Amino acid sequence: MASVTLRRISKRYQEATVLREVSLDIADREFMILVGPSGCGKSTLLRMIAGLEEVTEGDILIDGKVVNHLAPRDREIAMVFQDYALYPHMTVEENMSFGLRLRGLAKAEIDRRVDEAAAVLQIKDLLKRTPRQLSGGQRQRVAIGRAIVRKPKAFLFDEPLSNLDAKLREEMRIEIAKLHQRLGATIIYVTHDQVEAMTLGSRMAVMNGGIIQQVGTPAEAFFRPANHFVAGFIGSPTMNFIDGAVAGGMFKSPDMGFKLPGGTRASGPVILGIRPEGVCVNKTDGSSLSEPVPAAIEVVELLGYKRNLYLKAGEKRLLATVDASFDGKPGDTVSMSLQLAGIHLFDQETKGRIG
Amino acid sequence: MISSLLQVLEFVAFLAAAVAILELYLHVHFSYFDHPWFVSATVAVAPVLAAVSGHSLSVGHLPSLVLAAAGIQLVSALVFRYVVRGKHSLPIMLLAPGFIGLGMLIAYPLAFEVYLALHDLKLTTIMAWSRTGHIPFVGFKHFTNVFTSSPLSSVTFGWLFGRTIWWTFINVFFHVTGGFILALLLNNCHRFRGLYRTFLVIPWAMPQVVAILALRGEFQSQYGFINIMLGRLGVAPVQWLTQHSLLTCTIINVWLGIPFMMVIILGGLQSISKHYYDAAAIDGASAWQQLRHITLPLLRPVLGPAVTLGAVWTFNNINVIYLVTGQAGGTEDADILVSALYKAAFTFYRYSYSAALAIVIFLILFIFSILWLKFSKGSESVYG
Ligand SMILES: Nc1ncnc2c1ncn2[C@@H]1O[C@H](COP(=O)(O)OP(=O)(O)OP(=O)(O)O)[C@@H](O)[C@H]1O
Ligand SMILES: [Mg+2]
Repeated sequence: MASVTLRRISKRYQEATVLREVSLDIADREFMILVGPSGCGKSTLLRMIAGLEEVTEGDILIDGKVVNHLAPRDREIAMVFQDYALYPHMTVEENMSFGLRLRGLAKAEIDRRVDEAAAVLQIKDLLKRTPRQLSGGQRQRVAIGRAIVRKPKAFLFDEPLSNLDAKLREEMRIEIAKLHQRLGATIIYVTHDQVEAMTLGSRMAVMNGGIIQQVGTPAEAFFRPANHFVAGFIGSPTMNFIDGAVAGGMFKSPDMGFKLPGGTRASGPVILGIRPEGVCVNKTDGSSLSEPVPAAIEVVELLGYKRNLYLKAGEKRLLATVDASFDGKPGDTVSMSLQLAGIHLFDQETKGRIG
Repeated sequence: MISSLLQVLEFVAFLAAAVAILELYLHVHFSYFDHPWFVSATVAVAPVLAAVSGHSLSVGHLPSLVLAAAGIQLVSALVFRYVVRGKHSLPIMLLAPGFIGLGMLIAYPLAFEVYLALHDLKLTTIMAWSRTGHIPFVGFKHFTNVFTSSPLSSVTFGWLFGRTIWWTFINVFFHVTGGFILALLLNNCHRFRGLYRTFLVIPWAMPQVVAILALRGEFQSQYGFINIMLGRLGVAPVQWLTQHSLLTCTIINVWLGIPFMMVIILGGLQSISKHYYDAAAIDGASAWQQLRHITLPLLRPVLGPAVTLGAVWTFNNINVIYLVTGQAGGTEDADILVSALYKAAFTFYRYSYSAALAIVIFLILFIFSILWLKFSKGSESVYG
């Protein structure tokens, strides 16, 4: 297994700059998530690591060695594609053993590795079938199997679960997590699924517009988003944002105003962020909550164990997630307050986190 | 001028009448099959109609015609009454005109060819035929002649057959390899691809006769481009058209046939998803291994039918050989089965013999195509 290091990588296609100075350290055996909205350059970055795209600027290092000019086959990396890219004219077994056969491994060794991978992935019965005779989930397993048998230095996954239905995706997510523990492999995993991003990786890199916005553990990205984009991208439902200004430890917006917890260094125009779970309704607990303001309930959604309230305070609309036991209906007026500990402040100019 | 227009109109009117009669016949048989008088009435009417039309067309043996009409109509009426029973009337009536077209274009010529092959029509009997409409019946004599005598002046059927196989194999081989190489080049070339493709397709897009005659000129021994260039290199003039006619025909036909294969293969190449190459590159395949393990197998669904078609066309290709060697005093060294057939019919006027030869050639091609499709699995898709 191996570490992967990206040093100020840029990628340009003629005019368009797709990646800008991306730097990232992925340790040996680490499970790194790349997450970001569509078109932000995740696949491009992954393909560059694999050697399928040229690097315009910067260096890619595998195990401390610059590999920019190595062909994919000399990088000893395996990749699982979003659409699996199984060879349609080969059986499952041939698909899985293709790389090994090209390398001229002994037949016995090939059979042993394919059998082993097939056992792990529970596809032993499918070995003689062709890809078109498989379901989506089975193809996905075969694609992973094709990667495992190679015993590569690192695995690259490009949104491998995005073509599966919700239930299967959940099962495969757990399979992949188990696989990581079992193989102790370095994995770089691209997704734009919140749950995969939060649960699978030991660290995640949040990307937007070809730039890495934040690198950290899922908890860091969730509880201490580095900027306005990360705050809005990570977490579901998304964070509420209120434009306003801070002066003398007080937050003021056209629709509400309250005292921020002591010790805030912020002042001037800010964006205040608060997750829906941090918006409290009809609670009175002076010290940990902001001063209540009246708000009207516009819509109520029952999620099961939780309820989403779409509130309107003054002209500002906010989403609150409360216990399912909450009893209120559209049109009611409630008193709304924010949990002070859950407040994030971002600079209106730079969008960066303050304090 | 007017009279040929009238002939066309007459033909159209004849076709329309045939369609109308057939549809009327079907309509009656689909609508009234359950009528108690259906069978007896139609069986009674059919001989009358046959007698009237046979008389007006002055066909001999009227009694047998009438009997045949009655017999056929009896079977037909029973089938319509007890088997068809008015089912699928709309699709059958809509398809009927198509069957008339097929009958006139395929069934009739085929039947006439079999008729010719079993009789003896040649230069010495053709005048008698046009006067009396009678040709002597000779049975399978022409079929044995096909294998025992030469369709031309000396070369035997066996030789011609061998040469045809060789000619087909060599041509298709170079068509496919040439087309494949050009298609690969074009596929990897991004600038001016359209321009190159246009240039490369020209020999195919041009009327074949023009292209062949133009190239034949280049092979001319004294003034042709090729010999002039060879002369510059110090090579003595080569008698391309007379002493190396098969080679010359092959070169010309290869040149003519490459563009078709190139276009087909290019289409096949472009339909192979880029992802397979990405996956193969990651699996460690070199460019050559990608060609061998990804491109070739995934091209099979287009290559199979293209090679079948190409082989049949080359086997049947008369244009090149006839235009290069067919003029008076031309050589027979380049002739293959079909060009020999053409010369036998239209240079030596051995019509019945040619009909028999044509049937033999047809059977050879037919068997070849069936076997080829069966064993190459060419018509099967790899994508499912
Ligand atoms: N060959 C190319 N030429 C020009 N631009 C390209 C090329 N390939 C990708 N791009 C651009 O690069 C950007 C990043 O593409 P990429 O496929 O990496 O996005 P992504 O983050 O993987 O998105 P998704 O989540 O939709 O898969 C996109 O804006 C895309 O339009
Ligand atoms: Mg992508």
